[in-house]
Amino acid sequence: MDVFRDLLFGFSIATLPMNLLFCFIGVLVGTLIGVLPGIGPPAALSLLLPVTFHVPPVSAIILLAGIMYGAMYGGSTTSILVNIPGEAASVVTCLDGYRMARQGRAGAALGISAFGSFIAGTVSIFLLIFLAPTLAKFALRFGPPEYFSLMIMGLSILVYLARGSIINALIMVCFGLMLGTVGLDNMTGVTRFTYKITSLMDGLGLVQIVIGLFGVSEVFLNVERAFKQEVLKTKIKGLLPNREEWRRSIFPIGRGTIIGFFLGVIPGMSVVIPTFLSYTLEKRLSKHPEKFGTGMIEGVAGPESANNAASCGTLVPMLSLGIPTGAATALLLGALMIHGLRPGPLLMTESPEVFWGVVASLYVGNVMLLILNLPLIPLWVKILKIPYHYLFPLILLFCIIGSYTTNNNSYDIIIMTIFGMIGYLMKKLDYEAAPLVLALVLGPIMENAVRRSLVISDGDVTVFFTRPISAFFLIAGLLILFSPLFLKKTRVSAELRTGEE
Amino acid sequence: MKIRRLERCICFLLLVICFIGAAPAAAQDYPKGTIQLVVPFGSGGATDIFWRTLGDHFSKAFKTTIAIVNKPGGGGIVGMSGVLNAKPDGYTLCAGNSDTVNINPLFTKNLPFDTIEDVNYIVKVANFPQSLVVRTESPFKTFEDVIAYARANPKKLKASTPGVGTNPAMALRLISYDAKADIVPVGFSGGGESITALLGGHVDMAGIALPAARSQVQAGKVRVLAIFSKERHPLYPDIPTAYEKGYKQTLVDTGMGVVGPKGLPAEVIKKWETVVQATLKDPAVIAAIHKFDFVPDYQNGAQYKKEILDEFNMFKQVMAQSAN
Repeated sequence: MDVFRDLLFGFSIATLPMNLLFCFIGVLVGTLIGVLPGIGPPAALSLLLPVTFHVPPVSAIILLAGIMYGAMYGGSTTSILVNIPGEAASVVTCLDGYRMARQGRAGAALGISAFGSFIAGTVSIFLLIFLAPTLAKFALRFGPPEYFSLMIMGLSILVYLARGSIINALIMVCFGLMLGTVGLDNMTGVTRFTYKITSLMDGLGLVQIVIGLFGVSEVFLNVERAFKQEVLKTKIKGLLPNREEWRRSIFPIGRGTIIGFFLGVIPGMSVVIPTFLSYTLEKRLSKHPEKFGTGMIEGVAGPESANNAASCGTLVPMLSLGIPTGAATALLLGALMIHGLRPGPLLMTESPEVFWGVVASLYVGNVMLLILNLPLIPLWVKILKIPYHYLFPLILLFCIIGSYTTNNNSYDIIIMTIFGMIGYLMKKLDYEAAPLVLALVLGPIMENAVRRSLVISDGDVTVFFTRPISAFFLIAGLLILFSPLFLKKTRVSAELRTGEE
Repeated sequence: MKIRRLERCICFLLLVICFIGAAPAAAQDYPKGTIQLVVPFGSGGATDIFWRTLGDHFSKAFKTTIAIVNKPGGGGIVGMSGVLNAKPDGYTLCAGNSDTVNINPLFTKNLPFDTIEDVNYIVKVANFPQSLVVRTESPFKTFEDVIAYARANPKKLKASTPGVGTNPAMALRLISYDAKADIVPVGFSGGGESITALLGGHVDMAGIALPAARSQVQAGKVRVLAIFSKERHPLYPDIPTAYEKGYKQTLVDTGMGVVGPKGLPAEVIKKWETVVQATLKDPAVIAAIHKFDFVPDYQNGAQYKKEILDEFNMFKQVMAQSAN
């Protein structure tokens, strides 16, 4: 088959010593920025971009792509160990990953996210090779109405995301939606809720809110407790997932991969949303949904696979159509242009060595990441043995660095601190942060989508129901939202009842 | 004991931070140390990539490092406002895009500074053209086709833009005003989303920076009907301008230059003018700029400021009249 011949050709390029080296540097840098909260792939990509001017284009793109998916491996590390998501895409990993670490299963959680990422990455590469052209065309059919309906469906999953009270989760969703309205309105140019503060013009930063709500508040909470280190009491049992954990994780990894990849293909879809969907799905399918949030390995395996598959999916529109799906892929496009290549539909035929070389390097990079990450696990777990009076100041320091470096703006540290306090109160009063983060991600996309749809349709609301893809998502959303009512006798409602008590 | 050791550590760290923070400052024989060039946009955008590429060349010409720092926010306002408050020694400068200073104030009230009076316009480096594109399948073959249709069917045509307050969005307003052709702009978040909406057929046309549309043009997916520069693009002499078709006010280029705080030493401005003028004659630099579809356009500080002011007044007039 042609594809296999092309792929072999790609491997012959990706395994050249120089390209292997660049691939390694890429995934190493990616892992590191993934571990550091705040510093996201775009910042690292643009810092390294000038370095790539003097190397052949294939090597340059291999390096830059390595950073992008390498970050997805690293992002889970701090989520699991200290409850601070390294990337927004690892927020859900905190829910069960951190609990697992508390129970002495940090190694297993880290291990399953590395293996999950590896499996997801590998499967996604094959999906990318075989489905890229078809999928990219399908992704184009997503106009504003489809985005709106997809976001509605995304919001409806909250009924399964809530760990405790549904009412509290709804309040958090509203809070998140409100926070999402801050900043310059894209349609009219009006500034909303900025109180003449210039730094608020682009809205509240997702990174700062996430670091505040999860990381800083966790530190506050722990400082308040007696200085007892739970992890030291519970012995760290085994550094890799055991057979039972593997059995429980394998299907979540598969489902997470599928969700992540296909949602990643849709331009403008953030990598965050698939992780939430995956988590919800696992909770819905689990025999013990009530145990989610207490350290279920499924809740780590699914989302971690989803975010890796999604970062691979974002390459589909970029490689086959030349459309950027986010800041990171926009940078890759820019790099292609600087090297005199023509990104877009012609790339595959005009510069096959770049296209297939990069695709093959994705595979090579995933193997490297697995080899790189597994030996690191014992090292990471040791972090938990650092006495709290050293660990907490360090965590706070990294939170501050992370918040600052996203925009090089000291205002963001204030935002982070405020949300640290809000997060502390939320934890005290039993409000969860995950629904808030979900709403904050979905809200702005949803608002812009509904307004664009109505401008395009001259104010006709039926546009959401008459377009098939859009109608499908709306119906799916409604079904998810009301399914607990219809399935009264099921586990789900049992869980909801216990939640409302 | 333990606490005292910790204290000592903290003191040491603070000391280190102080040393890192202290930057060399001198007026004569500028530049003596690293020049920080704030790019007030996120990493990965056209502006960022442009300055990172040119930064390399300027670093060589200045014989010092030009460090690019991204400080995004508010369409360039956040980063620029930080630079304007910095010490006017020429070591903290800002990459200025014309829309930051001549379109922003028309939409955003309460800007922290006056974009004409408080900004020190040092030197202009390049232009990048804005264009009107349609899908290849579109019935519109020429710019006149669009105008004729829009005149006959007001508000029927929808055009995606990278968002309100951007140059392409301004270009659409100028068309509506200049050609009396009512086209409805649909603001997206950035050029990538905007061209995607066009490719998917969700809008009739897109106002977009030419570089952002280029790969789709080459792939035969979209067609450029016109650009909004005064002269035709040296790389694409076949693309007509709206100006030559008689729409004399439909002129909007994104000018890129270097700006700084008020009170910069004259030597600093002189040095930048000389260096930029010389660098823009280097064929390698021209080639690098052309890779982005940008056009080198050297202008000294005074010319640069006048151009910004003229555009600003023009836009203000259009905004005022199209409001009713």
